Amino acid sequence: MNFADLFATFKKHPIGFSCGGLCVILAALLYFRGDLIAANQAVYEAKSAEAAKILDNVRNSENLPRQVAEIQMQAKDMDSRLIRSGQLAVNLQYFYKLEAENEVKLLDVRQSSPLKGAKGMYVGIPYTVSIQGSYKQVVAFLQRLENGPHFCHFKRVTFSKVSGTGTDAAGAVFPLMTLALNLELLGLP
Amino acid sequence: MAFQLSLKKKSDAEAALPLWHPNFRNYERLPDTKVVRTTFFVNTAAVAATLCLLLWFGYREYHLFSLGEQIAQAQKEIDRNAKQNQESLRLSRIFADEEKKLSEVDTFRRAPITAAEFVTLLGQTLPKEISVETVDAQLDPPTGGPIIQMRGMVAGTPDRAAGTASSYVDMLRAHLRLGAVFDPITLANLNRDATGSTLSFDISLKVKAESKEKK
Repeated sequence: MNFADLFATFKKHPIGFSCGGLCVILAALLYFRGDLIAANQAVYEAKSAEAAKILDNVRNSENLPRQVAEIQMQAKDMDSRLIRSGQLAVNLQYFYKLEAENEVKLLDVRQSSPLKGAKGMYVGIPYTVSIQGSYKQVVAFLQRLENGPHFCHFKRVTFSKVSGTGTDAAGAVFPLMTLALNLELLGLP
Repeated sequence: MAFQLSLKKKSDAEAALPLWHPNFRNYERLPDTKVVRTTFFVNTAAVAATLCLLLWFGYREYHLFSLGEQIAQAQKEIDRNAKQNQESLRLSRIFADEEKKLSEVDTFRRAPITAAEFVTLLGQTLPKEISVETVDAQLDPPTGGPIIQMRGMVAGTPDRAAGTASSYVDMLRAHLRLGAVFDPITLANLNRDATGSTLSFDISLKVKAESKEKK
């Protein structure tokens, strides 16, 4: 069968041949563009999820600037309450002030080096403190430490009765007790 | 079969005897004389197949176009909110950093019960027959949970003093705040002293597991 025969056959069935040709072209197009739908579907799902996430972020962050401002203020206030381990005199002055305010006798106060390799941004700076006074004075001292300007964490607290008595400003006699503390004040290394 | 598709007659093929005259018919050029022509069926089938494929192809192309539109719409949405989203993410990071600092401080400070509160409660609940000599609170021991050891004296005859010590421990257990924080509260020791007028005691208070977790 040569070209002339083919042409003759085509002339005899032009519609059939045209349709056949078109079918072949369409089948090829369907085959080669078949993956496009799945790919575009995946792209659409990804974009849609991203758009939804972004929209959620935007919606949920309506009050974020105000909240950030508030938390930054809190953090700034908190930073001002941290101690610096290098400022030994300033740090010990805190305990001497507490001694004066609560009328207890500060028997001993020592600052130790903070533990190395501690996680987090801050470190607990260890102190050993020992005071003597009446029950009321000792409790007041403890309360001032707990609610004072610096963040305090007690490791060990030991109360013990001691022989002897003390007298307050009004001349009242009271039994004495000692309080030994191992504590940490939160600070920067 | 309703239609005979072949142009050749059956009798032509079956002619066994030599023809009595030559057959000059050219079957290729003879017209199709069937009621419905073969070309009609061929064309109908071809057109139907083409139409089906066209419809399928059209449907898929429309689907692709529609997906393209949806992708463009989603991209438009992303672009519209991108700047605000970047700002939100930046603020969110700042918030997370600051919050980390605050939570670190909170973790540092948190305790099931404060030392001052414990001593105050102890003072409020102490019966007049009992005097406390030492209170040793290990609030952050290297091993095990927080534990408080109390040592003191109970005045009175041994039988009455033992009853007082026992009811004191019961009272500590039943106390709303102390009972909620400590468990078990146990009377570890109860010994008569040399004079016989007092009993020395040891009470241990262990912080409950759930209180430690709250810490």
